[in-house]
Amino acid sequence: MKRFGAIVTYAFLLLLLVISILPFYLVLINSTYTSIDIVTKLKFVPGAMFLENYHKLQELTNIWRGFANSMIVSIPFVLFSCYFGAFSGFGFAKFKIKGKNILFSIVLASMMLPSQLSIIGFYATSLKLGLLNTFWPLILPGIANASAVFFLRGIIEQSVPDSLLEAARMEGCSELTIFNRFVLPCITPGVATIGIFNFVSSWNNYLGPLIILSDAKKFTMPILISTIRGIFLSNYGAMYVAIAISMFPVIIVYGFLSRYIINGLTIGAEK
Amino acid sequence: MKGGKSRMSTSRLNKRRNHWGYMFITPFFVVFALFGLYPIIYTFRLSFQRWNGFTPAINVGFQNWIRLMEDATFPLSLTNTVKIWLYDFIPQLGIALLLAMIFTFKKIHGMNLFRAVYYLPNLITAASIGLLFNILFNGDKSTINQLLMKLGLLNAPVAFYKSRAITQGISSYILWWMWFGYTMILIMAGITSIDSTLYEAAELDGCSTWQTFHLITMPLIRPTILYITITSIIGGIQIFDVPANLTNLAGDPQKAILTTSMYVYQQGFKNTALGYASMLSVMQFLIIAALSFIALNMILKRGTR
Amino acid sequence: MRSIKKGFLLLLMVALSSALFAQGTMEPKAKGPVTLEVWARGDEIKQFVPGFEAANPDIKVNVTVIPDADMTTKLITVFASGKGVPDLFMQEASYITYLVEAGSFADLNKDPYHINDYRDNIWQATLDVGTDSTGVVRALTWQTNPGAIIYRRDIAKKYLGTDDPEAVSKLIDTDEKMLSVAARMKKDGIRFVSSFKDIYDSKVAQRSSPWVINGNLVIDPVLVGFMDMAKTIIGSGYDLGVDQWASEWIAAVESDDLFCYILPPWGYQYVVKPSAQKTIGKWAITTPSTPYISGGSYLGIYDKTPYPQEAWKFFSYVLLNEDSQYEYAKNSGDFVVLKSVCDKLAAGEGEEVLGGQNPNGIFIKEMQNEFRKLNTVYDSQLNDAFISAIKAYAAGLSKVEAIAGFRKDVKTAFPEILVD
Repeated sequence: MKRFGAIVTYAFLLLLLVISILPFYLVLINSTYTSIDIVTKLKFVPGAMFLENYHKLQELTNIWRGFANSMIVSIPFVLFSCYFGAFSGFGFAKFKIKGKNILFSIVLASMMLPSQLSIIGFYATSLKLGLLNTFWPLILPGIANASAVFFLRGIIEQSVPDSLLEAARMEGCSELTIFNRFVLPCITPGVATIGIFNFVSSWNNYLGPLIILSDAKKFTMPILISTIRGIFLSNYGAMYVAIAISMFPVIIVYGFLSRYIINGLTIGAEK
Repeated sequence: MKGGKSRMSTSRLNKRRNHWGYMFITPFFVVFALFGLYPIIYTFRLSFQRWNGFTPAINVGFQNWIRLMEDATFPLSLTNTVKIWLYDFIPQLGIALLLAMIFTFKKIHGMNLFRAVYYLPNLITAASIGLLFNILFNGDKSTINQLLMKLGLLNAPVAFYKSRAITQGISSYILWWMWFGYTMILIMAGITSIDSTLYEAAELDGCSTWQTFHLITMPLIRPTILYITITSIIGGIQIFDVPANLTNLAGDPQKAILTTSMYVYQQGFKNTALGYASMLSVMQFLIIAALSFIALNMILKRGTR
Repeated sequence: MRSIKKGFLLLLMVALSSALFAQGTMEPKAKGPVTLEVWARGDEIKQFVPGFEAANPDIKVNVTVIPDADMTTKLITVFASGKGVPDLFMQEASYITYLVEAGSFADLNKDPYHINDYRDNIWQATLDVGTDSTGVVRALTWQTNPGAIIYRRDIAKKYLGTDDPEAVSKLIDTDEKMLSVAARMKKDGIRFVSSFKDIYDSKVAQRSSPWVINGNLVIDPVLVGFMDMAKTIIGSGYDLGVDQWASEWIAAVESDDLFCYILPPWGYQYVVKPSAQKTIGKWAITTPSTPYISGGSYLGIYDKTPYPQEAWKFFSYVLLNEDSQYEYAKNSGDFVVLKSVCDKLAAGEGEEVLGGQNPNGIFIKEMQNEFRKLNTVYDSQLNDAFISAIKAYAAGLSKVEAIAGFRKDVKTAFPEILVD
């Protein structure tokens, strides 16, 4: 009986595994075929056209520069949002603030306004600050990243014991030191988790960079992939190479940070 | 020295400490005022104007709101959005809970690998996956048609994107695929904060796995579930990238996957009715706030045991 | 733990300095040479840049390609602030009427722009599209787009008995003839046309009235009649069943079960020619029963540009200079806007893909027709909405319901139009 349960469970897990990976696999396979083949043939094994598609891609656009641009935007964004997310979350979690609930509701509400139309206002702000066509409007908002604050506040409430803070205060530490030296290390898994989420959302952000950047040399990867699609030619082969290239940093960052998440997860899970 | 400090009046200490609280949340609100608040105010103001982006804007008072009364497409887009979201969210939460349960209570070989892979779908750009699924299903010679015919499950090709139900289903499926791993991770993060002594006590009491899960785990991860639900509502009402790339920006077939955000975009940037589109944005915001409020009440009211 | 923090700090430093670097290396606006900013939909216009810069050493041209769907979004955001508007920008033909009427393009009849000097050598129909309702020319394209039938010679021989362009044209020059040929082809699994939309575009040109007259919606009977033809095409499977520009639509060039595409020159240049490999030499072009023009990228000059002289130089180089346009056409194969260049090209070699036929001859013949000026600022959306109505009708709605749905859509999009 137990054996049967185990087989069913593993079968289920494996099915989900295949479902999760299949589209990625298809992207990689598609990048090795010509556009026409991609559309008309059913292929599950790699073809031979990768290099040709890659060269087509290079002809159409400087994809590696787009890659670098995406990095230049996403990494600082993640660092800002994680650090300041914890920063603000700490403030909300462990201090008595007048009107805390109202202020926090504002944080929450700010996530609820659809981004489409506020982009015009966003553009106007960036213009007034003289930051148009730079990467700053895409990085600085990381300091006010509501989902990081929301998430990390909860984590801090749960994982940072007041006793630890009291002890540190007894030692004469300033609040800032307490934050940097005691709070942050406590919540590393939470920070890593929100870090990945924010990296992904920044990496895949399309509308923001589209509006702010007017110099093609500064375009980030999602915009370049869209240009490859082109008006007339649908260069699917080249496009899939670009998508494949675009997938890798995210997967690598994930690989790097997932160790910390899994560490955090397994502490409680193993009994 | 240590003793001396603690003998200082606690209220003064507290006050000084609470000043720090303000300091900690200041950077957020400063940057928010610049990049968050101003655009929001701008949008609110725009919702009372008529503007096409090229000629100067005119104030029209509540005309945009009146226009909404006669708009049949907006309610349709809302229905579509909620439908697609529900068909995504319920399986998403369900499977994520199931997986969390399996990984918490059973020893699974390769657990780390499974968890790592389940999160992968969240990493891909929504637009890319929408495009991939467009190519997979679109047309008589599409990959899926060829596959199903080769397997003998179909005699003739199916025009998937001519069926409203199927197209909506595919949208929901993609969203589910992208988010179930993420949800699973969040739930597991919430579970790890549960005191393990509770589990020990339950085991001693002879509770079954299901009972433990139902009576201990679920209530204690309520905050996590709340976070997941609210952020999913917020994201769900705004879905754009997947449906917009799956067929076209008009939400074909017959507006079946026209979501509210797609409609706002259409009105704003295709019909250049920016004032009206701003008003629709405001409407979206109110709907999200209302749904979140309902969710908050539903989840928190389930009693504290 | 400390190593993570160190790692983070290091990353932060690297990232911040690169970000600062990125800002710092932005080229300062050159004092000497003028740099023109051009926003383009695709990169064809880049082909003109090297020649232009060589002939005008004190002007640099910076072309930024913007994804097509986002051009309006970006234009709106820069217009809202008045800063960062490019000196020249483009939009697709169906949408250009809107920009032309909005007045953001400069009047090309006024100094220092003198497009009137070139009028005689420009195809009138393309000039008309770029002209606003007061008769001022504001935009022009270097591509001219008369519709044509791009068909497979082998399939034509089998089912029509000939592959000669003139003969083929006569055999499918009415709706009835087309449908009966389509039925015969379908028996063997061959589809007649790539998409019903191909034919729709020609019907749009057959109308006697535009979409909107004096604020009232007008649904021309030609289009209502076409709904039935489209329903037959869709229902009987006479087309591919996908939208234009879908992946399968393009891939069908190489398949053996599609007879023709009814498209303007861009259909040949950007769909058939690039995709044809084993079908090289099997295609030919002929005239459709109703002449029409559709599509193309229209270029205009921003009316508040700080560099009108330089902008005009580039504009005329691309659009009005015979030599540069001839070079461009030779390389890209586009059908261009200057008549003299077209004549020169028609005398040249034929195309391999077309079995030696020179397409320019056919296109020139097309352009001799009269084209009615029926465009309005609403065309792009109204045509899309009507196509939706056709699809709904084909999917089972009654005609009355489909048209009612269309009227509702128009009202939702443009409340100022009276739809009843």
